[in-house]
Amino acid sequence: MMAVLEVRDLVKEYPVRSGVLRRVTGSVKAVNGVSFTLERGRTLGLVGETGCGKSTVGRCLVNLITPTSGSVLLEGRDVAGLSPADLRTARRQIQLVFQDPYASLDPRQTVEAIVGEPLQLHGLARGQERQRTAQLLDLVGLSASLLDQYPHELSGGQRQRVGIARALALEPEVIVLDEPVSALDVSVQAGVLNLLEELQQHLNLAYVFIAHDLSVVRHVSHEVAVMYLGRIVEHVDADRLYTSPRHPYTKALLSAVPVPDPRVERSRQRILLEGDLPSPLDLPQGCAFRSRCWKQTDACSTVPRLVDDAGHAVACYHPEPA
Amino acid sequence: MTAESMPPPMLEVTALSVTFRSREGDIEALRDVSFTIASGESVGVVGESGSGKSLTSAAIMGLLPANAIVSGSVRLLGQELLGAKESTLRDLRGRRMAVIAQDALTALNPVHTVGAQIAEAIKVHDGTLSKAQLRSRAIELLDLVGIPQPASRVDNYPHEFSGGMRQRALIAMCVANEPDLVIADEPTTALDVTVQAQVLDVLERIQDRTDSSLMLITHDLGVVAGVADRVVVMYSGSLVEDGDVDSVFYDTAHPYTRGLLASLPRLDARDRSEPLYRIPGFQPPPVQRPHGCPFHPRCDIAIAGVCDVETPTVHVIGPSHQATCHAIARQDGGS
Repeated sequence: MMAVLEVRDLVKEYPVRSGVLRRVTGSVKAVNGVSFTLERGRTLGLVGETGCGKSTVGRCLVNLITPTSGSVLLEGRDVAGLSPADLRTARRQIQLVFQDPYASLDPRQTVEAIVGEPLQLHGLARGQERQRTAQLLDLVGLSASLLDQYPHELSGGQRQRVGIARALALEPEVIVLDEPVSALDVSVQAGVLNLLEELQQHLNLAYVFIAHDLSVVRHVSHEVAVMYLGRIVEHVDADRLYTSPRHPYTKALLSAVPVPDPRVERSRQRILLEGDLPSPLDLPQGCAFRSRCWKQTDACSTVPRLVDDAGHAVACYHPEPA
Repeated sequence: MTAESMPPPMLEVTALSVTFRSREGDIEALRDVSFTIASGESVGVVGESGSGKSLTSAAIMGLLPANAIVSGSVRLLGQELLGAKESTLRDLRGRRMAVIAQDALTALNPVHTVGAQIAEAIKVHDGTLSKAQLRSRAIELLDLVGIPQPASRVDNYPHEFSGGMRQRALIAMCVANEPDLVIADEPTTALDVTVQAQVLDVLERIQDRTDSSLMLITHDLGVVAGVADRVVVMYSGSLVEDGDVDSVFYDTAHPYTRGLLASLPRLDARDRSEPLYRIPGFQPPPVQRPHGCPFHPRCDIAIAGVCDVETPTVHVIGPSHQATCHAIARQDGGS
């Protein structure tokens, strides 16, 4: 089966300017050679801490940011090489849902205008926009009575559902979800996560689920890629990642996640990482995690490649045993 | 030990209510909240946004806005804080009780060095120390919270610190005068998990060292499970459950707490194919709070004619466990 989404060696570089003349004095690689494939009906969780580049990857996927190099293939077609007309169609196949439902919806537009806008822009459902919009609301568990309301009249959970309905309007195959539930309270979050799962089953959608909350990612993902300072350091199915992480960073990250179970918490050994995340302007030579890693040796002074070992890819010279 | 010879608890909050005057009428934001924190104890206060947890801390510290009407009682080691003079409160803040704010970037002053701000916090309560003494105490405190090279970092400005280091500097400032009660209001919410682990570790070490009490306000039940001895659960301005951490997590009484725990995705989940439990509806704003129990429209065990009419009172379940719920009280054969 052909992957619905394939990302090859994605790089996004930002210039660094300094001095009075703001001359370009260097560059920062926010994303540094990210590759993965995703099949229909599957969810890839993209996790990592602030500054690891996960959101930049998400934005490159939907063309909000133009990558410096590398390619994004939708059903085998490279999005970069398309004519403007083909690009328009290609964009319909991949949609983005933003983190903050308070900031991502236009406060002056009604729910109908927000959800119906993509239909209009693409000239779809002409003359039946309102009906189609109501259907979309129904799909995300909202009543059609909300059509004429404004975002401020909705709760956080309702707003995020509106954001999802809007993303679904063009019947995409892939949805990039950038921290879709992190602004929501837990009892509301559960409803949105369940909805996303139902939609995936009904519509055979592929999700790229970007989040920092590893418990949420575990719940929704089939496979997980862990990023650290612009690179994927580990990529494997969700169960193996959580039961037998191989990269030291993944291990430390998982050990730091609090579990809502006092007995488990009392018996857990936490790996406390030394120091802080290095500045992207001044990365350690070789493996970026070197400066905080308890296993680092001289070998780590060259960048480790992401090597696949029986479906469990890890970029480390001293991985934990499989 | 008789009741009279018992030392007063570190913090005793009794029937605390906070009402805001507004043009639309009075808004009762906090209703009849009572709990205690013993000396050396860590109490987690949990609830979703709008449940009143941060308001509770503001009321304890005497930092409510002017249009707030407060009633009830807040005692710190037996001393009444509600209605106390501003000068008394100012003396207590920092020295006996201190707050660690959520957002260290706004809590620290960008134009003064971290060391100067810590020194200032000490000087306010102890004017006898020399400049050199203040500086060495600031270095000592930065070292205590795990800032590397404290002797040179003391002269840095807040923007030269990372997010986790700023939060630790804030903790250093907060514990500078070894307060008896530390209130941490979502101290790790803005931080990444590995940094959160570092900061929680610092909080626990400091508490062990100074034997202070900790009131940890958070929405993260995982953090509470790891840090707290006791848990207070709040919903829509009311306290709904209060107990030792094991009772609240394993013998959960209140239907809201049960719903909250069931709706959490778990890192150690065995079965992910099951959908998460979802509490129907949403938490009402204070002006739309329903009659009777505020949770009854969302509750799966609500008793018609009771829960929608009468405000529930505290029902004692065990020696250190209670819930504010009609249905639980009936199940236990109470009134």
